Amino acid sequence: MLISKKLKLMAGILAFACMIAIGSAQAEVVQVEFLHAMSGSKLAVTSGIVKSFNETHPGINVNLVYGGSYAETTTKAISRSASGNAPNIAQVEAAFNRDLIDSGKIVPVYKLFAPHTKIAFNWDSLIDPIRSYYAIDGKMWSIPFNSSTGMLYYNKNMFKAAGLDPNNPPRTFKELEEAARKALAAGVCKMGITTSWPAWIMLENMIPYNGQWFANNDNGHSAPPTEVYLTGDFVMDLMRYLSRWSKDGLFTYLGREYKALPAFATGKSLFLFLSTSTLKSITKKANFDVGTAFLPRIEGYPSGRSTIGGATLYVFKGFSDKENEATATFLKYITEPTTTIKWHKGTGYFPLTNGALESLHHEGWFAEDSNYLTALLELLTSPKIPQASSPFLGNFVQIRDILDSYIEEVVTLKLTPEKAMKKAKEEVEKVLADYAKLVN
Amino acid sequence: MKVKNRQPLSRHDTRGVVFPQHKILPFFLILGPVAIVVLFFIYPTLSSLRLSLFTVGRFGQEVWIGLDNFASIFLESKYRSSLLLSILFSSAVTLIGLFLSLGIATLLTQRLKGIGVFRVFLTWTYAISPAIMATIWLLFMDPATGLLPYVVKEVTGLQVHWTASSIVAFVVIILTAIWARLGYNTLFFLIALRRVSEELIDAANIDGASTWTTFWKIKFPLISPVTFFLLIMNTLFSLYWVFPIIDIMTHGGPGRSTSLLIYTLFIEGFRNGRAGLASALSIVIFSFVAIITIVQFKLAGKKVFYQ
Amino acid sequence: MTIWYKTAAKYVLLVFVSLIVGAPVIYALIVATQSITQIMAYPPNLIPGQQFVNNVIKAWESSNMGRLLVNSSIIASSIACGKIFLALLAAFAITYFKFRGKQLFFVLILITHMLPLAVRIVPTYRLMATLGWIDTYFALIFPFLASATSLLLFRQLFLTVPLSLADAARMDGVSPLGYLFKIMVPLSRDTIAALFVVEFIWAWNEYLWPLIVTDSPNMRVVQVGIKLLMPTDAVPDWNIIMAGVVISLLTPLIILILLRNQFLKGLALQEMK
Repeated sequence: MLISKKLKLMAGILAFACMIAIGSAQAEVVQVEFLHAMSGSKLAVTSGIVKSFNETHPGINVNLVYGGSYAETTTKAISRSASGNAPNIAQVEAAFNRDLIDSGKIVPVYKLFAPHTKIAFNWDSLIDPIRSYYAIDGKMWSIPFNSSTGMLYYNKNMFKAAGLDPNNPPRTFKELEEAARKALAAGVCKMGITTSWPAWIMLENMIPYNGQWFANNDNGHSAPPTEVYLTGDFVMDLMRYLSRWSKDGLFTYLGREYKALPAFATGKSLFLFLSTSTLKSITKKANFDVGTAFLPRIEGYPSGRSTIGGATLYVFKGFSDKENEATATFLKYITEPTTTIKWHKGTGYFPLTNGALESLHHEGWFAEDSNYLTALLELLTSPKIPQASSPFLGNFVQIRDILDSYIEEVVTLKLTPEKAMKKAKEEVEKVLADYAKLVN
Repeated sequence: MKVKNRQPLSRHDTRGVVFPQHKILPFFLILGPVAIVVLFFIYPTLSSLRLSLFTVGRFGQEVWIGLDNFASIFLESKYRSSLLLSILFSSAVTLIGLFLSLGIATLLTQRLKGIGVFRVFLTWTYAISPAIMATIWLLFMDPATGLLPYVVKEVTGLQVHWTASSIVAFVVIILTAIWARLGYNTLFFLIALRRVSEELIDAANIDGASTWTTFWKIKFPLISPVTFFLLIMNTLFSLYWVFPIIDIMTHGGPGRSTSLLIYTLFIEGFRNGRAGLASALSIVIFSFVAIITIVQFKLAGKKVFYQ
Repeated sequence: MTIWYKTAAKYVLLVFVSLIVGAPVIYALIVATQSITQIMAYPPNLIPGQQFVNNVIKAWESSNMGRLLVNSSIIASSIACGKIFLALLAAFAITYFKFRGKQLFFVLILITHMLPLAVRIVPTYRLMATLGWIDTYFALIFPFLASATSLLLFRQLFLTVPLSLADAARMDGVSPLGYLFKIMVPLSRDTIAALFVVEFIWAWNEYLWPLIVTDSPNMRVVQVGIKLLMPTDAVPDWNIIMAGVVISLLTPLIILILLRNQFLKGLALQEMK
């Protein structure tokens, strides 16, 4: 009797001790919450990266939490930080920089590394166009995880069938129009020109690509922006193209964000304005020869540089030094050559560092499939002009929505380009004024 | 257990109150409901009222602007169109929907063999959520592979891209909403129609009334309570439950052609972080609901016929 | 002779209407059985495929359907039960007791009928954030627990119960709560079941609120989960999405079928208010 009681007691103490040991071992693992906007195949690659990080860093556990689209994720990140429940890392779309930086709720990433902490980071390793897009006074406030730029996709099979040279894609809007007309007349495609992300492509990309300013005060960098240049000659020309194309049936509008992707990938449309971000999944899905080209420019305007898209990772305040260290370790891991190469190959987004770029080049990756090089070349061969700086506008989620909806008014032929852009300009400038009021 | 007063109570003595000696128990009983109502209904509504008078920043900063939000809603074309679209949408969905459901329900009252099967088939969709309906219709209307655009093309030769036309998009959400409520409306009409006394109809028939007259002069007035009820329910549906249809199918676009009030509220309040404006939109929606409820109570007394 | 034609015409009309009204759902069901190549076909392929089970499995896994169903079930049952329970207590208090503020209380509950979620959504969200309830069951359940309809229904029901029953119980020494739960509740069984069906389905179908109040994959409900089956940046796998749709339709359907009689009664009650 007594012996079994003693045995029970010992078993109990042992179990209790085990629980404490396990509990404290759990407590040793630092949790890092990563609020992201990836889905589909991009999510698969992201999960792979997070998994291999967790496995090689037993003291840290990065948790992927899905936030929805970029707009939804940014909104969630901001509202959660406002209520004191911020994630460690949030994936924020490139154009929403100002909202995050002005919020005062983030830790600029340069402060997570030497000389502020013991973790070293070679800032010069980042590819220059990406670095200069995100840097503020030369310092990085976020780590660009998935960076892309706009480019044109076209269906090489349809080109051949229509008597067009598949290795000679259109380089101007005029050439684009001619090609679409010819192909539609030949009946080789159901739709001619389509676009994804209307405002990001047609305004945010096209404007600096043709050497124009997006907003005043150096796109908002030298002082808070108060004007957007939506009614100048260039934007008017572009909108008139879109309007005419819609009227003539050359252009079919299929919705915002990636909605136009299925039509292209299933071989129904000839051209798709998109970015390099979904190159991998399109090439996989398509049962035709996928061609890529630089964005077409509009004749008569200077050469410029397209904008950086995709998203970047911001770190939020309110975490312990240990947690920040874990976060920094993860961020550094992302920029390591093996990781960023895996990321690029799995999606089409740019490899982040010069070192990674060189490796890819050496192993002949770009020779295998030159489509992966298109967007990079577009970026690296373009002049580094001041107009290509990121649009540093607050309330950008709202601004993007306004721009998208007025482009929609143009392509659904509800408003003339002049009226639409005038109204868009008014609304955006009102939003900018409201923002200035709140963030004074 | 001590029980005071073992005398039976008479009705007029305490107007139906049976346990007059328990003064404290009732307060415990109502504690839960009161807490819920005050915390989650009254307080937020008053807060909506207050917030609608401010511009609220993403991080909670508040700037007093009085009635500016409401001015924006009624004066700025962007929000005013949302208001007008909502009114148009509610009317179309309610009137057309009820008309169709009444027709189908009448068809279903026929005494035919196997009518039971048809009855179930045409009314079971009551349980399907608007979100599921929207997903099904997204497939149905897909520009690339959907069945409906294909049928429309074969029949009329028109290639309809609802993503590229404001009017088509608006029509599509009306169609989807009508379809979503069809089962529910038909079910209620069916039950009501069947309750109309057989004797009444037989008497009318004997008197030589045609089916048409029987319908309009007898059945229709007698089912007016249900008609009325459905008018209210469908209007309320089109103010709130239509949200998934917009969020899953059109996202308010193209342009702003399908941005109904509830969707604008969502975007402004939960996307653009404009809690003040969103609250003002809430108050506008509240006004609609209030008007409808008041109308309901007023007319419930007068125009509705009972058998 | 004419009668034969008339009947035939009616059947034709019925079938025609059924086809048109049922087309979207029938199409959805067919797509749920097809393979990926079949759904890409143009003109649309209407022949059912063999992939139903596969599609269901894929839909289940990629949307974590098990968790979604659990969440929705817990939330919908809690809301339905909570609403009914609180309404029972309130109706009981109003019908059988005398206390100060009784009128005010009654009006308070009735007012909630005019305050649908849309009217209080922004501040309720902020309240959830303040209470730290974002992403928890609490946020999904509590804002819905008041029901003017249920209160009115129960009160109406209680008023029809003869006073003599209550008197007898009181004289037998039954406590008020005992009277409520041992006598009144069993009497109200039908109404309770009917209300449960209606409220459960209503709560199950809620979309906007879970959308804004839940973030993490563990807390998602079926309605929002279905939306997530549709990728934002790839070609949608309609067959898998439709398989997911079929799964999510099952629970409310099952409840409808099992509790069909109560459901019909519930409808009658709904309009009587």
